[in-house]
Amino acid sequence: MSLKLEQLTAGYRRRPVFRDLTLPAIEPGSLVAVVGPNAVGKSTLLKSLAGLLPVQGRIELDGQDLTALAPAMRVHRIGYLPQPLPQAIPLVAYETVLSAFRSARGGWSREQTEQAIERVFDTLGIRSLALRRLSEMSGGQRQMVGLAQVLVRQPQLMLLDEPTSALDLHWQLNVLNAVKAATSGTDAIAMVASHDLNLALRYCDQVLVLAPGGRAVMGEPEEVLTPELLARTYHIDARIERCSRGHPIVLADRPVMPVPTQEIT
Amino acid sequence: MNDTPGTAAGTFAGSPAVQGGLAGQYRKFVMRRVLCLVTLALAAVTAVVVDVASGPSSLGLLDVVRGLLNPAALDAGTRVIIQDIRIPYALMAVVVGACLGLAGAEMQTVLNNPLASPYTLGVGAAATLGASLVIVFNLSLFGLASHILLPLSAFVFAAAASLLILLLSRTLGASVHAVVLFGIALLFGINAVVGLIQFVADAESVQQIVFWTMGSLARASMDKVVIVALVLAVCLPFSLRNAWAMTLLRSGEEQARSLGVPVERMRLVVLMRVSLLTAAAMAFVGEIGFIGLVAPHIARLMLGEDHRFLLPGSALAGALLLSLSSIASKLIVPGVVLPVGIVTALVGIPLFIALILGRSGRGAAL
Repeated sequence: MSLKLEQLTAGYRRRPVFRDLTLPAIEPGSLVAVVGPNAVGKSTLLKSLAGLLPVQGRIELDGQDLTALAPAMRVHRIGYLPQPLPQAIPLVAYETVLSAFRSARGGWSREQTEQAIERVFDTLGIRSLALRRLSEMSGGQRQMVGLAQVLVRQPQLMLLDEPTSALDLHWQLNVLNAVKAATSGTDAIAMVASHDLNLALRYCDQVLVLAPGGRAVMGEPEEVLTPELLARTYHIDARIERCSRGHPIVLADRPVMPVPTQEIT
Repeated sequence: MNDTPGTAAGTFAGSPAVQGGLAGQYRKFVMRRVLCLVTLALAAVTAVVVDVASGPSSLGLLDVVRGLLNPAALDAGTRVIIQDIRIPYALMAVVVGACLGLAGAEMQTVLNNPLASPYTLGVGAAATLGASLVIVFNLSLFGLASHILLPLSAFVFAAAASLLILLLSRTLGASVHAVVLFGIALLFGINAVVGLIQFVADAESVQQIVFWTMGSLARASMDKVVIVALVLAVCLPFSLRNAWAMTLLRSGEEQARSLGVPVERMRLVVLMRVSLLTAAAMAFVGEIGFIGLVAPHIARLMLGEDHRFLLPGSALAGALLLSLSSIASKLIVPGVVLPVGIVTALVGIPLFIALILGRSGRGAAL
């Protein structure tokens, strides 16, 4: 059940953010980090895969072109976590998750629904939040509930836009463990937009680096995230070192000025 | 190199662990909400009985209950007062309040704005404009009598206002916040036109328009109650059918879209339904503000944001508020029945503040 993107163009109001993006096939069970500077198109890519933006080109999941699929069918296969957190309203976490489940998993029995919801609260370690209102939660807690809305439906393709942006270190690790568990050894694929290159190095099977000008590089994290690529993409001096346990870590030393366009001849 | 740290399933600080099965706990939680709904319904029924009992001709509560259960047991005079005047009056308050409460809740959800209501966004004012045109220019269309043309005109103008707000926002690609701003601008624009019409109208027409804008249950009759009740009965099931989608929309628009909620289409349909409910409610009683704005907030404080409960809760809260207002309108000045639109805020605000203080006292966020 691989994911293929061919000649994909997407953007807003006739202003494409990226054009003709073609990627190597993403294999089932993969956790892919989507990284790159601000405004390069990470969120746009995830939104276009989720069917929230009009696209040109082909998005193929398990041999089926998603762009030709009716929204109702697409919902069953894709789970999308947007960057904005769930609103701070008087809706308890349990029914926030239940509402997402009901819209995309109609036809399940009540027992199956209850079991799936209970499981996702336990997996994410947020059982204590189940009967609390979103209006009484912190931003991080609401982000966890948003993630539960995605994971409870067990979608084949998970698109998570900065799922750890509001979380402390403990919950960042919890979330990535849960996403890893939901993909590893299964048919599912997760694409996670993030600014945290170290979490990408630690958890992800592949990294997709989007760079200004529509350039994209994809491959295994240690192959792709090189000092040269980081310098070109983020305009920083950076090193890739290893910690005492042997994990690669990115150390950003200082920003460097981009080469002015007029000097390139 | 993908060895990952072990999962440590902790709990968030300050969050007591939920013991036992989550589903069982949630079912108890749902039962409390059902009880809340039943309480609201019982309160509305009680208010109706008290409303029937109150008025210039004082009737005992027991007589009223007996009269409602067995009209033949009453003397002819009392029967006329109860059946032809008090009951239509009291029932009209309930159905109009329910329409406005439901319309307000739906509008606040699809526009994601707690200040949205048929009144604050100009839909009610547009209905007034439609009614004013029929009153002042004595319009007739296809031989329709004015008592039919007036509500029809109110509906057409209310629907046109909703469409205009939506059209402007879609053409300009505006956000829901801009939609609310358009609505408020429309409210001022329409009020200016109504003012202009009043300026050129004769004294009798001005009096009728002023009467309309104050909102009064005085012209209620059973056939009018049935019409408003039918509109409510038709709209409510469609509203409830959208309950899950609306709940999703409230928690986050992008998430709702990704889950297949057709947000634009739902906005259009809901605004049309709001026009219908508003026009039906206002057609026979005139402009009544406040209920559509505050009833959903009262329901939200009691029932939360799950629209399976919020939508019927808002309708019941609206019914209760207008019914209590109707009682108050007969009690404030003894022997005089005030136009109910004048007293809705006087009754609603203390109730609303009491609920807010009650929740704050329990340390709960609003």
